[in-house]
Amino acid sequence: MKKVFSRPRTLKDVPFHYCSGCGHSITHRLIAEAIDELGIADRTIGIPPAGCAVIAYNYFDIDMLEAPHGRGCAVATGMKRVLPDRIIFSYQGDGDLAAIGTAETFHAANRGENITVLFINNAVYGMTGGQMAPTTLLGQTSTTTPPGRTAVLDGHPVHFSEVLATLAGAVYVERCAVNSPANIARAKRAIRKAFQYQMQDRGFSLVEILSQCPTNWKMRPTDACRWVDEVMTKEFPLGVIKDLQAKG
Amino acid sequence: MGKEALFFFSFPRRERPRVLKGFIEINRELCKECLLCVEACKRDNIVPSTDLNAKGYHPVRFTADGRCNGCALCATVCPEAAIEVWRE
Repeated sequence: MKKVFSRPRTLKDVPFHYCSGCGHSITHRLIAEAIDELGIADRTIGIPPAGCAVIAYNYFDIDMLEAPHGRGCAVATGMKRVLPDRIIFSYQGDGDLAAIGTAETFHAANRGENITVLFINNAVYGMTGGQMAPTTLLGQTSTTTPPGRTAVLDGHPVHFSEVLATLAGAVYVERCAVNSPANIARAKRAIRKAFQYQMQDRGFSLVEILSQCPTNWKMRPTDACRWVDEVMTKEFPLGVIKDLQAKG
Repeated sequence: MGKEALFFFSFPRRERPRVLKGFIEINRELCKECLLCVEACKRDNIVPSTDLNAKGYHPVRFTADGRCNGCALCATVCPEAAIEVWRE
């Protein structure tokens, strides 16, 4: 018998602090696997966000630099321009990227900075206790929208990946999920592809990952995975949103 | 007879498991009882348990009845990367 699956080398032997069934930890593993497969661990720099994944630097065996809330893309821009041979990825949540860091992300994408952004969308502000985020679905209850989000009071959920896909600088935008084995395999391919595009100096790439948040959705982890499939993907359809290279 | 063979022949002919193709090892201290692996396993080889680990969760248990084929779906969905898979 030979070992076919084990903890990736880039993932340190440290237990995750995330809640039971959280999508963050799955995404961390996928990133570590992608880095291992491409063999870029010694020249990759990651940028953890503010939010649940704020101490992601404890888990990866690569260089990491913490950015202020929402400024991941701005910091990544600086790093990539100073160290163009490094692979820079910014790991940001929906509150971090689509609310506080909207300007930085939008203009980094518009300039076509050669960086990779991993956008974890769980439809709430996770770390602070489940407040409404820009991506909260209509009718979804959160601590700041107890009766459910309404379009009149709170506006519609923001489709930030689609917004960024309209910009000329973005070469690759895809939305994935980590709620089932098939979706996890797809998400891993997307992350690897985004890194490869960056290695080929093609421009801005973004992978949005719909991630379950059982604690703040007040569901069991298995129910949360089902909810992603049944409700969340109706609002945020999975698939490639933009891939300039695929067309030639 | 080897250990695996003894195990194999301990079942009545009809209920004999398929030949052992895969095996998984669950790190009990990392398990947080999210039960995603229980859902992912197509052969119901992973079951919840009532044991406790140091964090206070009930870690899942692998039932080595010879039906595991080492497909690694459980390890793919495991958020804690607590499962290692071996295959023939």
